[in-house]
Amino acid sequence: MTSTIGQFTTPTEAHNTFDSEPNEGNFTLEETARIGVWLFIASEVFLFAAIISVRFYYWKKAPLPEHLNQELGLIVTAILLASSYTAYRAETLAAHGDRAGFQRNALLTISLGLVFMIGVGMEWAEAFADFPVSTTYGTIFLTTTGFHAFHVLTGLLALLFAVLQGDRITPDQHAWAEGAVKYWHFVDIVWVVVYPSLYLLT
Amino acid sequence: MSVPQAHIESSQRFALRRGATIIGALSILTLVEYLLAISEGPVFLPILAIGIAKATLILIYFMHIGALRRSVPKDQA
Repeated sequence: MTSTIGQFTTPTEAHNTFDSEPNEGNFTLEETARIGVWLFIASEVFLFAAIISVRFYYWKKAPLPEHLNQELGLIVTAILLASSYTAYRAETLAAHGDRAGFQRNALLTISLGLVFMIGVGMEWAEAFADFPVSTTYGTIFLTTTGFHAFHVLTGLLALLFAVLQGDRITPDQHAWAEGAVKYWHFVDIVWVVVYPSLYLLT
Repeated sequence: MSVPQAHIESSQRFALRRGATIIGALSILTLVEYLLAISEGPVFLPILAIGIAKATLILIYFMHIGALRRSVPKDQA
């Protein structure tokens, strides 16, 4: 397990041999992971920009439905915001070497994420009844929230993996925690854009 | 208690307090956004501005986008 990709070492090798010391490319493992996560997030921005732009392209054709559940939209938004705060706490505690605090807050984030997913499920149940996929708004709503929910799900898996890695966290080595939490915040930012475009703007 | 440990705890307290402030601001902005949406009148630009403000707060304070620049060695920046 000692392959090298370009000037970067694989995480396994970096963990075993370099730890937090700079490798030959002048990047530590933490820096390599941080840049990698940001590049991944940048690629995801293009995906969501394309999806969300459809909402504005069909702006006139797809007005907000009368039966759109605004209260449920606000509640799931509040839940996702709250999960962003617990994720922030988890990363902060990981960066200060508090393993138990990290795991506690990450698990709380996962719980809130699961509640958010239940909320999305309820939205979908209402959507299929009030504005089904055969309508323009229904197609946009289900596609956008569906893609976002899939990313929430992958974020939950990343957080779960970070929790499982929790015993190895130190202030200098918490790349998994940082990466998973950053991705979670990205998912939150996407919702910050999705929520007004699907629920509020008329 | 050693000085470095006190420093770590102080830094952690500061970071957690800042996080609480930011989530408070995000909550207020979300509520304002919602109240604007259910009110009468043109709301597109105010809601757009609030959305941008919320995303910026998350990018800067929760995602630490500033740290990305510090991650790139000076000879490659």
